Amino acid sequence: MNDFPFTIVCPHCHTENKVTARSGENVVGEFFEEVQDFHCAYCGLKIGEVLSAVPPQTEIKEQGG
Amino acid sequence: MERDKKLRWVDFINGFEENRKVTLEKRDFVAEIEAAMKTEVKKEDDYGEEKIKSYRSKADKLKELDALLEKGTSHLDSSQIMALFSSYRSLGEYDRMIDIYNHAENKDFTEAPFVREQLAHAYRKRRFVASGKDSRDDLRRSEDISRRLIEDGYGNGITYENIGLCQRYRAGMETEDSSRRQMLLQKSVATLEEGFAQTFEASLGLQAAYGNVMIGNDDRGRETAKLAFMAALRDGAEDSGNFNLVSTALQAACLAGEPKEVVDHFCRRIEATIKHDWELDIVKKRMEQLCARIPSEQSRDVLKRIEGFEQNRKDGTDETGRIIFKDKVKEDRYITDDPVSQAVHDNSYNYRGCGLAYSGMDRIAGNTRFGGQLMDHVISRKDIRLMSEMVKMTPAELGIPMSDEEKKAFDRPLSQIKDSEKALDLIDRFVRQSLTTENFAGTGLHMEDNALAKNKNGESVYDATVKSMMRASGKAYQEKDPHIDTRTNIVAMLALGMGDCRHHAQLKQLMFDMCQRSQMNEQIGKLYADVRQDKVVDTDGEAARKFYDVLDTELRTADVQVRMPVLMKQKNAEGWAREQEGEWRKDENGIEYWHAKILREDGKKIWNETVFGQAKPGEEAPVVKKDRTYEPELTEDGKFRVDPKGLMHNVEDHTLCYLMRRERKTGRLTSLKTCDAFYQSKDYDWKLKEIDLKAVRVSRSGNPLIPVGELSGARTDTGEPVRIFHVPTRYNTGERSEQVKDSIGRDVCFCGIRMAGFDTVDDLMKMVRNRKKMAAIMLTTLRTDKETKDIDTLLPERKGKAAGNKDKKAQCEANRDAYAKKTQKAGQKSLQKQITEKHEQMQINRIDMKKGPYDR
Repeated sequence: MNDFPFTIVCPHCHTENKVTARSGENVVGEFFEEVQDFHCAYCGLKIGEVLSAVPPQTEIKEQGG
Repeated sequence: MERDKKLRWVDFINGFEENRKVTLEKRDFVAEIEAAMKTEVKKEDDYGEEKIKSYRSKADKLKELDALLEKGTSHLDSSQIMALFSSYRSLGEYDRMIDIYNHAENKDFTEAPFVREQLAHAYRKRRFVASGKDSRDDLRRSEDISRRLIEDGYGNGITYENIGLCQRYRAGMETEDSSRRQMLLQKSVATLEEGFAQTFEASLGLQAAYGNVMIGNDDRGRETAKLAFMAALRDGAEDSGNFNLVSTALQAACLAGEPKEVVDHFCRRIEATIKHDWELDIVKKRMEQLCARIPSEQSRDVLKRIEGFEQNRKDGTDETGRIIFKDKVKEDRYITDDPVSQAVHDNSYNYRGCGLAYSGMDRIAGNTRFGGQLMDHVISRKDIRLMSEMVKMTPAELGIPMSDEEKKAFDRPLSQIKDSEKALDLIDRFVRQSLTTENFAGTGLHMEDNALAKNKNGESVYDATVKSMMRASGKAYQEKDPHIDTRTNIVAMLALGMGDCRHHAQLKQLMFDMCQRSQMNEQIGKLYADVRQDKVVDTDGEAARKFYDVLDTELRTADVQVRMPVLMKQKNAEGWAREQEGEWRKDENGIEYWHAKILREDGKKIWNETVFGQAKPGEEAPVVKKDRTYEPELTEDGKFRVDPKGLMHNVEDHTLCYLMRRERKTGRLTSLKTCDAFYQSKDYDWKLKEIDLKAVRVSRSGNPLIPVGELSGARTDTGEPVRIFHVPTRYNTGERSEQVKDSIGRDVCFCGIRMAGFDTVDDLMKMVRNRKKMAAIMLTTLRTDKETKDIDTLLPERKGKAAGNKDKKAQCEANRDAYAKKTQKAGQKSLQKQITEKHEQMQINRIDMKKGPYDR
């Protein structure tokens, strides 16, 4: 499986989230992924949907750098 | 509580206080849930303005929800438990959802198919969250729940798709045993195919098509996609604003190899329906997969265009979180170059895709919470289920009045009557009989007169009855409270027999759409049987032709202003006057538009480009005179006063259906007819009236002006007939596919109160057939309502037997008084006393009779 991370700002509480979805292509081919909800790691509300073979993981993105 | 407390209609008569108590309790619980789920904490600043102080974390929300849950669920009814259940779902807390289900005592909650579907979903989703690694047990449990639902007769797209996905996931876990993996994948595809064969749900069809492609059956996948595309068209994908449905149609069209203009249309629609970045990503990724697996020109074109969307989008979002595109998308909802077809479709709706497993509950917002008398109307899966059972009955079984010849000719289920105009005629009769249109609840009020039959309080008996029923259900009329639940299912209005033009149109639309759905499913079924035998779908064959015939004969409901050149009482209003003086002009494309002269109260005249002109940015809206809707200036003998200037005025707002037919290839309208279940026999004859398509004007903003005949000279003061137009308006539109959080999906509510007696279609029909009882309930409620004003002006004088009874009663009272005087004089006992003593004696004798011989 391939992880593909991306960041998204929660429309409810404006926290920046790092979301990691996972492609299932290596296991059973295309179209394996399902449209999965993902939730803000801070306020818990749904912030989006993504094609992923497993429920996507969200974490609050570290600020600074 | 083990079961919810449901009310019978008779409980409304004396239920004012009890229902008020229940309403307030429920309102408080809803408010508690909302408070727990609130995202923002606001605080007033030094100037007294509310400012956002901070955002609440998931942990804060869970703490408050858990506190509610700790009180237990035994005292809650199913909708309250559902509110908790859904709130945990919103936070992705699948463990707690499962806990609630396992501990709930309320069987109405635990037995509800919608709740069980959610539970299966929770098991499928939690398998990673709980243990950090994939759990086969959870997948199996989820699968079992869905299988049991199918066994119980509640199989739908969601249940089949869940089984298919669980099997596919299990296949994914079989990393070592490739034969077992292949077997599970094949099983998964078989389940999805079986599901599509049972439900004909578009997204399930697409899943089955993808499944086939995945296991190497490309041809079968392509043929299945053709049917998934037809199913999406059946659900109204062509003009839908639902992202999932449009996305399904686009993918199915690409996979099925539909013509370029069709794919182009769905590409435009997807651009118009995409609201969020992730939606754009999902479509893009699917198209990439499709191009890689089954390359075609269409798929590549679509992919290019979707990549173009990404370049076309602006940074950031609007205030609702929706992405914005630089160039405005062409929002044509139909595949046609016919402006009339486009305009009529844009301003109307049907229920073809309503109440589907995926779209949740459709809610047409009312205005009770803002102080009006229009409740929130919902069309749920339950309504759809009952309605689709109802159209399986013959017209005679439905109690539709028919001649002997008709009885013989239409001795088959309503859904099998292929002549759409005849079917609509029969549905009209059923609706009008059930809603007692010609004699509302036996009060003598013809509902077609309701708009003008008002007493000094501005009420007709119908208006007063609606308000009384609302108060009886515990809602205070004109009380503004956002948490008050006024949800009313359309079948509840049918059972009670209370409805104005909106309910007439909604019922007619729903029944006809269910008939058409059944006819279209029959054809998809025939075609799919071929696909399952690995044959090619014959898109020019008889079944496909029949399918498109039904699809292109469409009933659509519209909210319109009825406009005529008659004088109306006026009111002062801020805003822009619409359509006063003006002339028809042509724009550079040759499209006609109304160049209107806007008249201000101060006499200043401004020229505006369209009838529906709005104030320009920064321009102050002047005070203008506006028509008072429903209040025409009438002569003493009740005739309309014709406006000597010939200006059009808004006489009333109305909801009605139109029957339209269009050409498959061009999408042009070939026929447009009013098909009104409400106005048929009095001032307007809109039951089935052909509209001259050439006379329909379309304004530049895309609104049609539809000529619908004339008001007869007998009803005007000049004796000359005047022309009538329909102009679309949006007085009761709202979000139509809104998910209602605290519904278990099978409850039937009237004004937020759960009703008993809707378990089966037979239960519903028992109520529908008993119009006298329902009328008695409504009118007794009206009489017992302390807030009903001037009851004598609402109800007609009693005639016939009832009047005789009144006379008799008065005579009896007079006799009794006379007798009392006589006996008092004679020193005898009063008549009443004699009667009471006699009754007491009889009672004693009766008790003695009941005793056995040994007791005596």
